[in-house]
Amino acid sequence: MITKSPEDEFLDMIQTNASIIHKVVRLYIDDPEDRKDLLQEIIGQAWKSFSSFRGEAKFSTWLYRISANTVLTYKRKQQPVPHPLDNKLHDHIAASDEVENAQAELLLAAIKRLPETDRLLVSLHLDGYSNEEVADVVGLDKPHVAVKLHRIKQQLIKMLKPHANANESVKASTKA
Amino acid sequence: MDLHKAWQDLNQPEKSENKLTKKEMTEALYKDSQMPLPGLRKRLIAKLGYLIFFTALYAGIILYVDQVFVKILFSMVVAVHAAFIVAFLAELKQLDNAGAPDASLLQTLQKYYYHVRKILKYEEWYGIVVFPIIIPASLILGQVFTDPAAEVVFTTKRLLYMIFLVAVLGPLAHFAARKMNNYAYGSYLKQLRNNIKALKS
Repeated sequence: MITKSPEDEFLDMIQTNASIIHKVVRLYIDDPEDRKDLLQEIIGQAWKSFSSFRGEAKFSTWLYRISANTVLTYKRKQQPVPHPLDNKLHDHIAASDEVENAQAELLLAAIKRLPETDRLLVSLHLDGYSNEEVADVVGLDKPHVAVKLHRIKQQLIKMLKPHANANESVKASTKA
Repeated sequence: MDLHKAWQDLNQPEKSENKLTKKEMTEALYKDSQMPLPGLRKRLIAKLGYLIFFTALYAGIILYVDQVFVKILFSMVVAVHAAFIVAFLAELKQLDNAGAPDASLLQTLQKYYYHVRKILKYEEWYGIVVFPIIIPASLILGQVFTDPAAEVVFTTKRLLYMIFLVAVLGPLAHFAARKMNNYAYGSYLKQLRNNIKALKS
């Protein structure tokens, strides 16, 4: 039986959980080349501390933690300030071929308009992590996380509300 | 909109942009880190080398030059350098034990903010502490080398010249170091500070 090297074992685990890294990077970086650099940096950081991964937490949670820490402590180029969620964005979504993706893009656009640390909190929450797990990743206590998540969700709903009807019309026009 | 459902659509692997190839992923394992702390660590080691080299050189001057003012002033510089060497070594040790990259986000942000700021402060303070001693010491040393037989005389003009250099160059070096650090790390420190504040709020 051929046993895998730790390197191959690690890369397999990374590939299985690649969507975590991609998603976290996407929340903070717009430039495709910068994204690639940061993806590689996260993999490098994870590999450096892979020997300390003892399996007490799920690999996905551990990777989320490394990704968040790396992205938020990386010396990033100044990102352009996103304009508010306005009609321009809706037109862009309406032009998209994939209607199912339109809602995801709209949500991503809204999340990218949140403060940096809030983006991570809501991303963990939407990925199904419990408040306790979120608290562990970010280093806050559970009630504090609950309050923050409530506040963030209110903000998101407020941002997305004006686009709810517009989004339905996109769906209808594409179906027709 | 169902936030959870919309979010799951982003998870679909075929929709992930900029996917890394297996080769790029393997390269990433051994690529030099672009994170600020390893970069500052390298800078700290270079500065440590500079301090050790000049401390040895100044110790040589103390032993070689038979002039009391030169001995006193260069001894002071050596003492200051020794203090900086100890501080830099302690900082390096702290950096190496500063915790794994899988600590919590708040701990990591605080660790980065603390260490980046501390290393930059060392650089800023070096100028203001060492320059006022090294400038007169170098001037007197120059005089001793030009005319070893002559006695070092502090005329009013020479003293005023020294005071002027010390008063101007010391703060100027400090100011320049601060400006350069602010240019290189100002917005980064602000980013860390804002994120710590936002996370705690």
